[in-house]
Amino acid sequence: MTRKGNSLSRRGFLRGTALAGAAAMLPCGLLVPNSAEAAEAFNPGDFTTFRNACPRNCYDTCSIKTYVKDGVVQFIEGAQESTFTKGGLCVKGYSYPRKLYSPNRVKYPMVQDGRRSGKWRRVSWDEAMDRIAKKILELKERDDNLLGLGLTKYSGNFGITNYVVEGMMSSLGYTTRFVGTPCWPAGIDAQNYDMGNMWCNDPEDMVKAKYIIVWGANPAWCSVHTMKYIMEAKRRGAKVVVIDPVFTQTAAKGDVFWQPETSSDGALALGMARHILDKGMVDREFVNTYAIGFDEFEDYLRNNVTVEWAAEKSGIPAEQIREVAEEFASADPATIWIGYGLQRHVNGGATVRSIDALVAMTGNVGREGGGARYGHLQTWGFNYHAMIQSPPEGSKGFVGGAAKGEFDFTEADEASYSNRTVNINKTAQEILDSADPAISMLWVSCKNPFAQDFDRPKLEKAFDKLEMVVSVEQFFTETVANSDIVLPVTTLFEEWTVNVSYWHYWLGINEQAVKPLHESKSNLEIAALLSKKMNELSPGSCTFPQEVDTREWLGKEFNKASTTTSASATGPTSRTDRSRRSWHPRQRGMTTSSERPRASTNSSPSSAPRTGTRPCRNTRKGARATTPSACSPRTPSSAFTRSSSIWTG
Amino acid sequence: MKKQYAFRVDAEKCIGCFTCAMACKSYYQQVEGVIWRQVYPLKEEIYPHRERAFFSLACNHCEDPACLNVCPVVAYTKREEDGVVVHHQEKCIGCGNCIRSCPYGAPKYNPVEKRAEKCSFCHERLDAGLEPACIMSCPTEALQLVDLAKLNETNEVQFPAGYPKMEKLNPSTRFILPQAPKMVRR
Repeated sequence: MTRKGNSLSRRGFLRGTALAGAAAMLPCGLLVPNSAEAAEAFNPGDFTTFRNACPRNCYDTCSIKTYVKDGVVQFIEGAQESTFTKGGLCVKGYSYPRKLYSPNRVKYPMVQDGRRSGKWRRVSWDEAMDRIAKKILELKERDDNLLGLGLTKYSGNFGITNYVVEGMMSSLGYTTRFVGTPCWPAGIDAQNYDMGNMWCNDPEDMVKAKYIIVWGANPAWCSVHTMKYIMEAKRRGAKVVVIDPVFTQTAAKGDVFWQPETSSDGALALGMARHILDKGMVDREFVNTYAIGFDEFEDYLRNNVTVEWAAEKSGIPAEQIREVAEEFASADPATIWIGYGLQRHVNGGATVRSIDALVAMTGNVGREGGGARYGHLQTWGFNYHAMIQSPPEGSKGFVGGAAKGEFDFTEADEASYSNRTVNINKTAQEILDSADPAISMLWVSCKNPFAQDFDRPKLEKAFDKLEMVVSVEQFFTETVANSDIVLPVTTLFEEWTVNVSYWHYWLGINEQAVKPLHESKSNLEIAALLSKKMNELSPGSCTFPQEVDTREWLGKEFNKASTTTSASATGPTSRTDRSRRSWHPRQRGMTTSSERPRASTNSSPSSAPRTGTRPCRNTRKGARATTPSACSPRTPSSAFTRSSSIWTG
Repeated sequence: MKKQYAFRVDAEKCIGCFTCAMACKSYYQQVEGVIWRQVYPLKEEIYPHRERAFFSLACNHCEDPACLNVCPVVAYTKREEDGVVVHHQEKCIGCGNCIRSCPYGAPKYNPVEKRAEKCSFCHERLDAGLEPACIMSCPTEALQLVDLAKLNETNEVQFPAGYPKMEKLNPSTRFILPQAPKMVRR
């Protein structure tokens, strides 16, 4: 059935007949069709239900309810207990049972005889680990350090225990890490600089907005669950303006669609700000009480910006800019959703700052139903127990002046050696340029650089320079095709972990619903297995525990659960604090802005993690009521300080 | 009027995300090629922007169903209590009459069972007090369960453009038409 067919007439019969032979067998052997006419009412008691959480790098991070019978996932649905997920997933989420039982999964450890040859041979886990461990030891012997071993990992599985991949590397010694973020750093810096913290309003309060500008975001495709709040606000009378160079699905749902020139968003925002200034619609009480530098910003606008200039830059007529600016300034409250696309340009950070300023000068920062919404990291305060591992005694690494790796939580003076950090956005070039020692072995996990990075021919060339590539995957991706060894990793249904969002404030527990299929293992188990082999071949060469209980390790991510473990060298409190500050490549990455202290203590719930989906109440309430943040205008906003003037086009 | 459950398809809220169709597939795991619910983009003559407005369609659970009328073995029944049209696959002989007769293409041929099948309105879920899988899944509440006997709103349309106008069958599905925003283009 094709999407474009759009035929509502008779169809299917002939096609069905033609398919009769080919489709006689289900693609997923374990998924049998449910009867369409079950005589009795559906009884949830016929199933064992489990909580799962969508591991994608997505605003929505859905809570999933999984129905299991006879040890098989029969179907899944959105958890109704989460008011954000509200009983529904998305088209990708609902396909997960078929992913779990797909015949195309990587089922066993396999070795490829010749990259891109497709000549894969099944090997045992023992043999795979033997090859990997021997190569690691060979590099260590040859280079006198492990900097020849590189790790590239990103957001393919956001389950917190998957940070064990970094932990596994640390437990081997000092390695080369691809760090940084291809995603949203300019906007993070902008928001941290303007508001002291990137801390978006709860998307659920958008229903209270009287005016919504969706600026460079397309939630109808990228955050389908937020659309219901925008639509509810609209139903209650809010006006929705969508600004995007493309007429997106979200744009089709707005009241007004602006299609400006690409990367002219900063000019548009400043033009609107100038008009609000001219009309005397600035919230003077707000800027006098909570902002720094507004006078300077005012001067800047008067001297450098006109609505006509903004119209010329953006292609949006001046009278339109005036109209929307006035409506925005007079709505109470009004909010802007700042997408990630508009900061992936020259002046990207300044663009976000210009929009922040627009929200602040109208007094909409820190208000329910208001806010310059970009994202948040407030629910990511885990222990990162799996990630924080110590190198073996006597390990040598990178010396002097190294950029701190995004997962390096050691103090600068604690060790004279560090990991070598290279730019994740230049994967191919960094591999080609690496020397003394060159990167000779690459571990790829939670990432498919051949599908996601640019310049594939160069990437092939770079990979061809590597002596060994190990991919940890569920499917035979293009990156796996460029690997020597592939290790089968579990799907969300087969492991314990926990997931949180960078948008809403719910926390989703991910239970093991079924036993791992085939010979797949979680990243945690893979780390333990590698450690076992390393220590077998060279005792003391890896500090990672050789036996792990994945459920127990999940518990260690919460609160004080990990205080008794040997890995907590720096003490749980300070470590938690530091990991909160810099937990993630997208938070730290290559950013350099000064970090401001955070007021909240711990955003994770203190109860045991197996109780299912629950909101992070501490954060949900605390953010509004007590903490100085973007949600609360108790600290001065620097949205108007000098560097806004970078944007002069 | 007797109770008649119906799908209310709100094209103003629908974002064409296909979640409903996939939720149906997740729940029933139909064999390859068999689709009970599908999301159709409206043609540009109907909505001015390509692939920006949609109708999510399945069986319309008609008042006078063509499938039921042409079935030689009474494999179709219409439930008294809520008007849901049920196909009893164990009675079906796979003759294909219903598939040829339904102007909305709701019955599908199952090549494994060699019989027809179609959207059941999840009546086994309705009987348990639950919403159909598709309706429950919709992230924007664009797909809703309504009882035509109680439907009070006035902006519903029974035969929107692009949807076969089969008055004799009296399909139960109701539509809210999509809106287009004011466009300001560079």
